[in-house]
Amino acid sequence: MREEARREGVWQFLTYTFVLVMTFLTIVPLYWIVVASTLPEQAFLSAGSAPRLIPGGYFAENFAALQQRLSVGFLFFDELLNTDFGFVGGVFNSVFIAVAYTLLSLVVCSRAGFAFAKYEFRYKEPIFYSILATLILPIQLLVIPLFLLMSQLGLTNSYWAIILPWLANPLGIFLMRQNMKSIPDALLESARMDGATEFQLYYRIALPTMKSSLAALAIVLFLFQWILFLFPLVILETDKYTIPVAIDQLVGAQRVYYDQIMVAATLSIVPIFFLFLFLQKQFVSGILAGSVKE
Amino acid sequence: MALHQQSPSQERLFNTTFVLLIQVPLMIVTALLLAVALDASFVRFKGLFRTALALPVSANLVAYSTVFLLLVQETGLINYALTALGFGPVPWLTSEFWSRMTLVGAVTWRWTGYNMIILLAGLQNIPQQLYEAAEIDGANRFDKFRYVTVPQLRPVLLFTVVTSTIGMFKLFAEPAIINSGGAPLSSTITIVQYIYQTAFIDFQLGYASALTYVLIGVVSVLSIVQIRVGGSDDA
Repeated sequence: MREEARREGVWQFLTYTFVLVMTFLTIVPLYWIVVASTLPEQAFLSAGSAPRLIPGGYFAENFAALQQRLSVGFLFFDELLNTDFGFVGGVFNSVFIAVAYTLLSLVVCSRAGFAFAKYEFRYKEPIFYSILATLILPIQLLVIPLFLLMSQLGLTNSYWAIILPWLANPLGIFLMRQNMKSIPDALLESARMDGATEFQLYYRIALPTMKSSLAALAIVLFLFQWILFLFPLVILETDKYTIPVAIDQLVGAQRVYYDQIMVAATLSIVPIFFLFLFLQKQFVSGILAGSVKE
Repeated sequence: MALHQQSPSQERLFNTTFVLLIQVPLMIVTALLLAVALDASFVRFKGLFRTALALPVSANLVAYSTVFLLLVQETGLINYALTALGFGPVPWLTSEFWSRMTLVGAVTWRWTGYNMIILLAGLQNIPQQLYEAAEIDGANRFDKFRYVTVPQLRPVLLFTVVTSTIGMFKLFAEPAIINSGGAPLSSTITIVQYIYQTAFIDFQLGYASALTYVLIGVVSVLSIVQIRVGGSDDA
């Protein structure tokens, strides 16, 4: 038994080492962005000297400069207060758009994924592969047709313009299809026997048992919208700029405002940190356990 | 008609494929190991580790590229650390081979945690009974990983492999950053960048469209092969 305990100890040590090393490698560049946001520009850009790794005291100055340089509104407060929120307006816009998009797209992707995973219908395979094929289209090629479509719908410079085109997100549909394959057919069949409607199968069985996967889907969708750049840049005006578009305004032809970019980038990581912390808590195993007696 | 004669497009496709063949397996294996590690019951502060590892995707591209270039430049932090450890400075941006490795590193850094999160969620759907049954049959840790985790995770693994492969073909920002740092111009240019250049800078829209069709063909075939091979009957 002691041999086994020793082995277990070694195993745990190796696991921790691996996780800590990988986390360290992941965090260093991010940490550096945060440190850079607290330094005057020259302090972290100067080449040759040893890199500064200790935060300085310039965050407030950099933040004030950033707020002054950018003027981004936020639709809902704007109509009431008519205020300029500086860069923070961009954070409001990004959060609002990403939350609305994620909630709506969760419904569409989970419905579609459920259908592709658990139903048989005509042309199922070709339809699925066509959806998958759209993944390869780079955004650079889609910008012009999408712009024309959105302007014909009268949706330029609206939040809808960057929510609607990706509501049926091929990435999300594919992810849900792959995950929902693990719902046992027998479970759905027995629910049908008990008189559940097809919608109830989705709503009362598929969704609750797929809680972990839905949390992962929420992360995928939220991030997708959070880092979207080219299309928002084309279709939105200053009053609705999202974070990536707002930050891009700091890259001027004459001068790049690195210190302010670092502050903006730091601020854009904060909401994601708390969101991930919350969503990964939804990863619970064993919901499907014992659902079917074999 | 220019399509079959021109070598730049072939070179770009080669760049993409070369980087892809190293990057995708490296990233998926790392992500899978991390997911399994962060699913183990004895690990503490799981939430913090998971969150920290997945954060890079959300990092703004301008900030990330600035920091990244500072890290890999001749006198940057990475070479600083390497020299301290007794290895010579590595030409991360200026050598053809190392600039490709820099590209592999940059993409792996950004997307490993993201794939880990997806795999971690997939792990939760594996019925616990399978592990218990395997234990009764005398399976050790590696047996359980090999004969329960991997086969059960197959559909989700397939998702990460297919989307990562497609992602590599579409790679745009990272090579642009590395090129701006002075890489030998063509060693890291990917196919989509080349299409973009052809279409919107050289205004050869027809040729760019033709290239896009070739790209869609290549990627579709690759995806279908991956799904057929990796999915067997049920994925």
